[in-house]
Amino acid sequence: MNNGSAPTSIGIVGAGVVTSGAHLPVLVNMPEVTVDWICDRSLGAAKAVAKSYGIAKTFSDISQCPDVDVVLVATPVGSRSAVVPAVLSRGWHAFCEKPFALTLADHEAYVGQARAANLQIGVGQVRRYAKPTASARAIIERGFLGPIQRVLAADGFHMRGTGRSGAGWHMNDRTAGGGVLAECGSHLIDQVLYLLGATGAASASVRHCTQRVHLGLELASSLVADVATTAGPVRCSFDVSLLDDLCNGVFIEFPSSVLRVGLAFEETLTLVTKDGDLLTELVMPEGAASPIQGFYLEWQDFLHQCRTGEPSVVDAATVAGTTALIDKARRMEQTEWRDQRKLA
Amino acid sequence: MARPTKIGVTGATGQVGLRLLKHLRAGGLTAIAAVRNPLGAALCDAAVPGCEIRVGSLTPDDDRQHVLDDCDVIINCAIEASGGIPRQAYTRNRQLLDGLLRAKALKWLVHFSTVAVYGEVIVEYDDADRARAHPRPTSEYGRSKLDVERHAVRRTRQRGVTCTILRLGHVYGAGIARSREIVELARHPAFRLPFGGRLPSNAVHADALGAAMLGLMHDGPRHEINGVAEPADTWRDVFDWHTSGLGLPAVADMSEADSIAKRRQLVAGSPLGDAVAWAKGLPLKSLVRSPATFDLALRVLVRTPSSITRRVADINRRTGARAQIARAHESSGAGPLASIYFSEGMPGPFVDLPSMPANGLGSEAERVRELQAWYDLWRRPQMRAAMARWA
Repeated sequence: MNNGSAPTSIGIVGAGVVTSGAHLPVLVNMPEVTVDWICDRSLGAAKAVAKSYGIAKTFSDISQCPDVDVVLVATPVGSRSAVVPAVLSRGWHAFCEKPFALTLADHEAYVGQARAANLQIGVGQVRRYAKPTASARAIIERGFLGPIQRVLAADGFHMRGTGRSGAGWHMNDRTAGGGVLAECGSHLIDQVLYLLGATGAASASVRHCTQRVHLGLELASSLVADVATTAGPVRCSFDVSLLDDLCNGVFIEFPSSVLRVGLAFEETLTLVTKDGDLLTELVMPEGAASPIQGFYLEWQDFLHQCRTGEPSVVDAATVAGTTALIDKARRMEQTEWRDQRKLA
Repeated sequence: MARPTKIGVTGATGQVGLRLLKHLRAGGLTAIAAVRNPLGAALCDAAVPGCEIRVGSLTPDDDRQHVLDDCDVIINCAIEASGGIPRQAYTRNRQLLDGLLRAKALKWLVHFSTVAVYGEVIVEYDDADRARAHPRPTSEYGRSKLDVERHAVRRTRQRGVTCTILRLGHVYGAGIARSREIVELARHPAFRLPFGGRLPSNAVHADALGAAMLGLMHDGPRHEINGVAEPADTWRDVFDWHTSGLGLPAVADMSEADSIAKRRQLVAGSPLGDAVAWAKGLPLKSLVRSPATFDLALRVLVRTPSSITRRVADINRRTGARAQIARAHESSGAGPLASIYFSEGMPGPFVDLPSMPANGLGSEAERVRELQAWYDLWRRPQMRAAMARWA
């Protein structure tokens, strides 16, 4: 990859919503990059996105794509084992959408392949850049509020509409590899581990996990884990659901206060009572105020990592704890309402 | 009309559709949930275990079978989103209606419309029949819903199918967005209920709606266009039901003068008024404070006679505080209130609402228990997995 003034060339694999709605609006406005091509197994989808953003070349097969410096991998995680090794084998740096890998073994294989080829690999854990998360991390690092006693994290809403088409990660869990734990949980778990500074693969162990599965689709997951921090283990609970409205946010309990960290970019950082009632709102000096700012900052960081080789906030190695925890939870799940019926 | 044998329900994963399915099944009717994809089926299965679910398009190609071909009644609770293109709120929902009318055994279409066809703030009217027949929506949502209900009436007549339009009021109850709004307003210390809550609510509990639909299926249609609301209930009744059920203090009244002033703002809204308000809110100070403009302003001011500068400064002192005072008012309030709390009642006739059962689904005790359980889920953080409360 060039280190000079020439723009960094980027290719994109996957022409879905996150590509067209989040990455491309940022990339086409970064003067230091050019988007050379977009590849999707549906050439029509690739062409439609390429037309919207003025991208010259489209492909349906990655083997036909010309060389670039960096590739955005934005295909469902279940299809990624066919994409990431192919990208790395061409000598391209890889920036992958979350969730990064279905298993810790896959995760470590991708990172190992990249390291062996002296390539960089990153994960779009964009919530790390959100103002509430970035600012809370700075507060926790400084230890103002004392030792952490417990963390309760939830991201749940009662899904009432499922859209017009049959597409999307949740419509086909075999190819997407999804389910609510992978799709929503990968954000929530990563947010908590990042806040606690516990991102290594061995940083957390699962104590208990339950899931609600209906007609083969995982609609809600709830797990309790012990997370190893520099100050000792912290009991954490994670709830993700498409069935219930939950008390959403990351609630970090300290001896005499609870810090509520909002999930989204536009949310707040507050001190609350143990019942969740607001005490005061805190100033958020760090981080991005909108998703677009967040995507911009993660691209800036990853491109810097590619140029210098210095690990950034989105380096894939720092997401191993998230992959490991989801992998462990799936292996030990104690499904309370599992329905093995399949739709006709 | 003969009693329905199979009732297809579209929009089955929505807050109305799910409740409706429960009541129809509890009432001994054969109800079939039509959903578009496996996720919809899974959500429906989770909420209404044992319900027959069919996955497929409601607007199939000509040569394909309709997913509700064998249903003699279809209750259309579905709404097609515009997808960010306003015109599609009309075209997609018309297509949906046309698609439903291709179901072979269909004899009766019940189509859910909305109180919004009467406008965002319903003003007093003398002639209820005229108000019902010629509603004047004031939002794009209301206009598109009115367009689609008229399309439904025309097309059902052409096909010889009975059509019943239900202009649905504000549905509330456990798990429903309107109740979340009401509870959050009630918990906000600065919230005041407009007109003390004495205005008609146009609201209906989800279970009252479900029971009404069950009654409609048994009794058959009486009118082509109906309102669905608890017509005697005021907003005070609805707020008090929530607060008493959850052990919250009753909400305080907004003063009559404030209520009238806010209602006037809502009713008198116009593009010109909006443009003036927008212009008033422009951050002119940031323009003046930019270095080049500030320097230009100073150049002008040093050449301006002192008498004029003094008069301008006086005007600025008198008016300059207005925007800040307005913002202070905003920050201490509960935010802008939805227009529905300033509205008069919609015209009837209304669908009959059966009295509540003494126990079980739809009873007062069950409604309150569900409200409390739902509130408990989202009001405070908790360690759910450890509590294993899902069984």
